[in-house]
Amino acid sequence: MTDRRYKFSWDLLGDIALGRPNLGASTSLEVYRLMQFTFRDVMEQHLGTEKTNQIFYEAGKLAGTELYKKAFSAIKDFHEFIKSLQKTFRDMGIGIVRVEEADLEKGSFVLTVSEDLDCSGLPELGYEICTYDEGFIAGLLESFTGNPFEVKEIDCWCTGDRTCRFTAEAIK
Amino acid sequence: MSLAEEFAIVDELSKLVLDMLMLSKPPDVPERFASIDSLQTLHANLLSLRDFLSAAANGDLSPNINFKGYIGGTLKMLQANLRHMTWQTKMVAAGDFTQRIEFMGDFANSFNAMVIQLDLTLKEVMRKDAELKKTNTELLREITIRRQAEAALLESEEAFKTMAITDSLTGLYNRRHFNHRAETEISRALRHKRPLSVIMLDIDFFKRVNDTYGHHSGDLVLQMVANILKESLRSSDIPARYGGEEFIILLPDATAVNAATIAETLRKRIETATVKGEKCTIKITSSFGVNDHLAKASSKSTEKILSEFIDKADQALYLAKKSGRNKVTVYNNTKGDGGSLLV
Repeated sequence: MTDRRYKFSWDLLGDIALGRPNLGASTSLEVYRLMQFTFRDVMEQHLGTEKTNQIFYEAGKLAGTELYKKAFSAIKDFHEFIKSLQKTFRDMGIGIVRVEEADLEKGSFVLTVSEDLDCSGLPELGYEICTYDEGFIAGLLESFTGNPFEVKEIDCWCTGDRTCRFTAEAIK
Repeated sequence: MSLAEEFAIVDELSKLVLDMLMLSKPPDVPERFASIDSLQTLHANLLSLRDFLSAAANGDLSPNINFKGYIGGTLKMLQANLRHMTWQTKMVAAGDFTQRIEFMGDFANSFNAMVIQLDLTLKEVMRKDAELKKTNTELLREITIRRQAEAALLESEEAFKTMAITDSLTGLYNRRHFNHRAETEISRALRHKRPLSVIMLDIDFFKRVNDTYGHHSGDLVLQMVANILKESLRSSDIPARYGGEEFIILLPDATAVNAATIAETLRKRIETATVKGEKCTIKITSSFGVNDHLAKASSKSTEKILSEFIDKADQALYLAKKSGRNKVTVYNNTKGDGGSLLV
């Protein structure tokens, strides 16, 4: 597509302080999930489940890449990066990120996200749902390391687990 | 099926579940219930639970929990907490004392208190280490200053020693130091029965130089003679300024003949040398008296021997002056009362 209307830019998010002097920068989680799951519903009807998941993964990856550029690009040390990531996720109410395993040389990581924005508290569905988070983590790790990553959610609230667990492996 | 038979089946299945929980070796699903899927799932989940708990009890957090739901989810949360704590402990070990554990009650509180205490202790150790290094640096600086002061003092002492034994105008030994060295050499010569000579040198008509060309020119003449002595003598010879325009040279292991030869060489060099005065060139001559006669040590003190030794050279010098100057005269011991002119 050559003539794009929605190419991402932080400017598209607008001046929130100006626009919401009384309601402020936060909204209810219910509204966020309402938007996400209605998107999923309509996309799935138009594109099918697999394509919908792919779109969510890619959107998450774009978000991770853009957030990295905005918040983490000056950090060179991996542990500093993780600490900063944990703080940002908590401050922005995305979730509580924790590291279970990290091997930067091999490009192998196991991360957990508790109280996840997308899924914590959802009913048990029998399948992992955090495809957006998968993409988000992939975007962050790819930006930091310069290598492509495959991120997979292996435990999810929706599969009866209390925390979301992601494996991230560098693609070599 | 009767009620009693149904109770028997429930009892058998309950015992199976209890055995799965209680026995060290878990029982298999009885053959007659093998086709019941829910029982197979329950059996598999209980086996997975046993495996995880056994591994976790031994510190192995790697096994997967292969079932979902409340128990599986809770165990996974515990597993995530413990794995995360392990990773955080590694970070603390690597020096990151900002790590804190959450959501694990007393355990988290104790861990966090330990990390805070570690941090404080390490900071205190580092502070003391820095203090120690600072003190060490100051101490090293103090030592350097003291060493420099000691070196300066030694240098100063050396300078004072040199000043005490040297004639400042000519750089030759002064009379007092010459006497000291001469006494040592006389003792050595007498002890080893080795020859020892002395040359007295006096610049001819030096008063005229001072009167005609001024004292500065006189000083230049004295310096020139001193330089000729320094350049011409052996390292073992001991030249000194004896007073005014008079010089003295002690020559260990030299007979009067050897000394006279050296004196003659010096005489010629002084005669041919010139000093550039303010308005003209100054030429001078000098007279020499030589003596190698030493009195026996047993009868006199070294000081007395030295005095007589020099006196005889002085007598020879007097003869050189009396007989026309610009000459070398050797004290003639055979006559016993004076020197004779060396031809």
